[in-house]
Amino acid sequence: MKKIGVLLCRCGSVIGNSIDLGDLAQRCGRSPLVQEVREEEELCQAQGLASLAKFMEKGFDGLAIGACSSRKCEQAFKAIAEGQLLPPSLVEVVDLRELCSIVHMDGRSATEKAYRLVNGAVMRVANSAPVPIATTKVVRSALIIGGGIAGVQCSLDIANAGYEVFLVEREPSIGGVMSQLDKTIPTLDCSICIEGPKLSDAGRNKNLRIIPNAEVTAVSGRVGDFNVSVEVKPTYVDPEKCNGCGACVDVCPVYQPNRYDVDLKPVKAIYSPFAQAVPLKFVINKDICTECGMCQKACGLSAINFNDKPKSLQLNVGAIVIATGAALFDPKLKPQYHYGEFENVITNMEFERVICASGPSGGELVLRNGEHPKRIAFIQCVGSRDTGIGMEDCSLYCCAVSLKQARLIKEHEPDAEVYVFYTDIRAQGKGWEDLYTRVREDGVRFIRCRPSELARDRGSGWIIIPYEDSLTGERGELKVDLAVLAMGMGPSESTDKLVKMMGLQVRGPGWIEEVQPTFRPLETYVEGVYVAGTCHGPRDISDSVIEGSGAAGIVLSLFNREELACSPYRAAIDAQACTGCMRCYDACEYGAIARVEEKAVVNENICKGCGACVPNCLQGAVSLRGWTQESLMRQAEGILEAR
Amino acid sequence: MRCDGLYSLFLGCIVPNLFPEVERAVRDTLSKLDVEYSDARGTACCLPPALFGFNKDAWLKMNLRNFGLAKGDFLTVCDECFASLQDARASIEREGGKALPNVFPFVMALKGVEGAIEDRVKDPLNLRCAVQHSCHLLRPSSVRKVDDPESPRLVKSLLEALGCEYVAQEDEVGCCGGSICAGSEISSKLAIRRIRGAEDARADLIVTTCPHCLRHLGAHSKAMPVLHLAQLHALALGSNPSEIGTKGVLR
Amino acid sequence: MRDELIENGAPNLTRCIQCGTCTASCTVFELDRSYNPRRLIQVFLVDDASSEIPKAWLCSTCGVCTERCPKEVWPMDVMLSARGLLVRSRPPKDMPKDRLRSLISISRSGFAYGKKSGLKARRLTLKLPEFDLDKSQLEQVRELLMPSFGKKLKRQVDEV
Repeated sequence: MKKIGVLLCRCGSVIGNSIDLGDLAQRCGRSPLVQEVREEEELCQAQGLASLAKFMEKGFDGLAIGACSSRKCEQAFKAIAEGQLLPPSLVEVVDLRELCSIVHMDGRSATEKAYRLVNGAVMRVANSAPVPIATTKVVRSALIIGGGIAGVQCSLDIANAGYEVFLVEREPSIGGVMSQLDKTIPTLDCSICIEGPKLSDAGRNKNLRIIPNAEVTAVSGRVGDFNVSVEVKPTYVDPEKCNGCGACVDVCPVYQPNRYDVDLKPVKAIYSPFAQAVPLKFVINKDICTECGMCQKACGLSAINFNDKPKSLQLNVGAIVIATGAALFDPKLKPQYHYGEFENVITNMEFERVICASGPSGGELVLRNGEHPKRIAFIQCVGSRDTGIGMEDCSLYCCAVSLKQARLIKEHEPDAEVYVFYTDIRAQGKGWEDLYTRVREDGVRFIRCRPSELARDRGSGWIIIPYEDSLTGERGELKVDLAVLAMGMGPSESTDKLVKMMGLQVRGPGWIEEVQPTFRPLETYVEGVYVAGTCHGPRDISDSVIEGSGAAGIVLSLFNREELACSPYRAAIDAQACTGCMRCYDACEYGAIARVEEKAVVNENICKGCGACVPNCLQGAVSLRGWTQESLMRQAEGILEAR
Repeated sequence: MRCDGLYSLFLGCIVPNLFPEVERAVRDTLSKLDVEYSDARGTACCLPPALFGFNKDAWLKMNLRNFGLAKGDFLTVCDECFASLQDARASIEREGGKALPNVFPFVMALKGVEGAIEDRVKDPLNLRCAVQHSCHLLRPSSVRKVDDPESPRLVKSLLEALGCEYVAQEDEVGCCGGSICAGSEISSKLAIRRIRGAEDARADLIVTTCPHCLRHLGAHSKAMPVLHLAQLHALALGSNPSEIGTKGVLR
Repeated sequence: MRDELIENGAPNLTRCIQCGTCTASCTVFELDRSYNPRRLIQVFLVDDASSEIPKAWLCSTCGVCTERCPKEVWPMDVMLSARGLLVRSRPPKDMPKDRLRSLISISRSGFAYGKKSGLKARRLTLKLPEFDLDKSQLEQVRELLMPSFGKKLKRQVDEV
């Protein structure tokens, strides 16, 4: 006969409020399976846990604990059980707080329910067998996908701790959006000046291997031991030989738009995206290259190779951090603003490149026709706080960026008139309010209105903005020569691809979903895969850096373990019984089941142990380890038939 | 959006009572294009919320009655009827009512037989047409689903198929003011603005698909002709100008 | 006020963030500052005093506000809802005369507009069919219409 121990927590006074613990303890004790029942004041406190440990020394075959929601303390209780050599699978926690005493006011019914719940737990534990916990090795290498500031920070932190890091980046250089900006907020530091040294460090770090012009194409394996396929695009320039001298660029006759400059100023077919690129290696866009061979002739190091082919790399890493960033909302989706139709309606990113000294106009604030604008208006919330187009959220960065850009205009053209059309100015945190105040002192005018449309004066070409100042009720039509749209942030294409590839969960327009956005904000639902930066929601630069370090911390904590315990509570498929009908696959929300050689196979790394696949199987071939049908039936009996 | 089978012609209030020539033009156009239809006899006003406010009870009941008289999908000649019937249908079906016939505006019925129009129009009309787009046809676009609310193309392509020139306007999709309560200064200002715009652009006429716009702009226009799209189609397809209201109106 | 409006066909009323896009796009506001849909919605949201409701009759129902509203408040529907509340009261309050006349016309003939002069003859010439409602059809229409507008409507029929 099994000997089960029962521990009831008073939880201060919360559980004791409607449940009569004395009565409960007595009733529980009557079961032939229960050897001893104990009551505790607060099990989660140090004293309570010590008490729990002592209780377990009595050598029970299993433990039923009546306490609060298992999301809170179950881990702690099970950890203690492990210490006492009681398999964690034989410790069952039932929620007598959130599911019982808090929601039922009537003492008698609450106690009755509590008794049934505990009895069910006792029955389950008495009919369960220990589940062996396997361990896996931890490969102490990390893969960071995305070389923006979050990815770079993360890579540096891990590499500096002495571990090998692979940083895969789609573009020819790392740096991301931050490298395109003129100034940062709120301190108005030159963006590339503060980012450059970090990129440089990344380039020189012996543990950090930057893989540019590359994309991840497949991921398999589990936390501690992932196998990743990376495809490196051919660049037609041998990076081993190229020293970035640029002789090839001078002679190349073909031009193309430059993504880095938001297509505002062309570069040659052979190019490096920007001056501070890391690595500083030139690449050829073969789509427009005419193979005239001029670059080959000019190159003193014979680095050009028109026969370059894509390369595949296989990486074996223990952890993956996704830092693929965000994309700006496409302004063409708001046709009432006539972006692309009216020449002088531009995005805030285009503005940033224009005002930047390294940009298409050398930092001079000019319109496309070369003239200096005299009156500029910023239109906030284009693609944010807009339910109709599926962009519900505030994008967080755009108010501050428009304030910054307004300030920069006043620095470049003190006599220019600047207007900001806003709904709310969300300049939050340290130092941002000061920017808001400064900008108003500079004479920038704020009109509280989200304009319905932009019009254009046929004769003069001025942009006309009809508005209602919602603070005064006055109507106006502002004529400006430049309108800057503050674009909302949305998930990037790279993020979308990875999500599909790796079976990640998403939220809203496609942001990667975290396990718990408040207190586990950098973990995805796939163990060993973490996020940092704007790939899981709008953020600014400093938060992206913080997250880079945060993710690095989690990875390093993983690497510090000798070996990793793999949660055994996953679906298991009996291959003998499996007929390959794949009904289990239909039930799985996480994409954890695949068809391998006519049979269904579970990827335990993705499997969350939800059990949805179990009832779908007509052969009874699928079971959930730790939750056998037998133990669950007995638990149900324990609840329904208790007296 | 095509109709399967016969349309049920829903004339509304304005056309049969005030513009019999337009009704003649609609009937001629439909028959010359082999669009089969029958009259929805006994229907009454569709009680558009836009005119009378949202009086759910009366509105739904009146339109449930109207739908009961439909012998096929409704074909409306008035865009306010289209909007009112479409919304009533959605509301009734949402509340678990039985499936009701669909509702199509005149413009979509024409779109459905574009090929026939091309075949049967021999001589192009060669008219410069300014268009008063109908508010209730286009907006809200997520519900109406007829055309692009910012740059509508349907009426333009239909006019071009008749050999007409589409004259762009300053405020392309602006309101004519016809549904503003009578006696309002604003309602007149808007009508005059549209007419002046057409005059400035040297248009030969203003075309509309909604009798409310037709009535309102017509009441404010001295020289600029205001016609329903059906009248141009009927003319191009060979109807008698004195029967469809174009005689002496167009040069 | 707010709850009644929500109930009567404006379910998204409370989503409004007062951004002003509706007023910026309003056909009527452009020519008459006293009609300000954004302001009216704020009044509806916070003020129980209903002296402003009749302003809802000024809306042209062009629908541009609804098309452009970023929060899907559907401002036009708010105005129609407000009108509906007014019309529900007996007698219908502040209903513009021309609308009242149209309602009366519907109760008389089934149609919101009366016949233009010489219509019968013209229709004959144009070979257009009869379209009038017969007695029983008119009865049906009246039965559906009158409960919503009350007996006072009949009195107003005589007044007008």
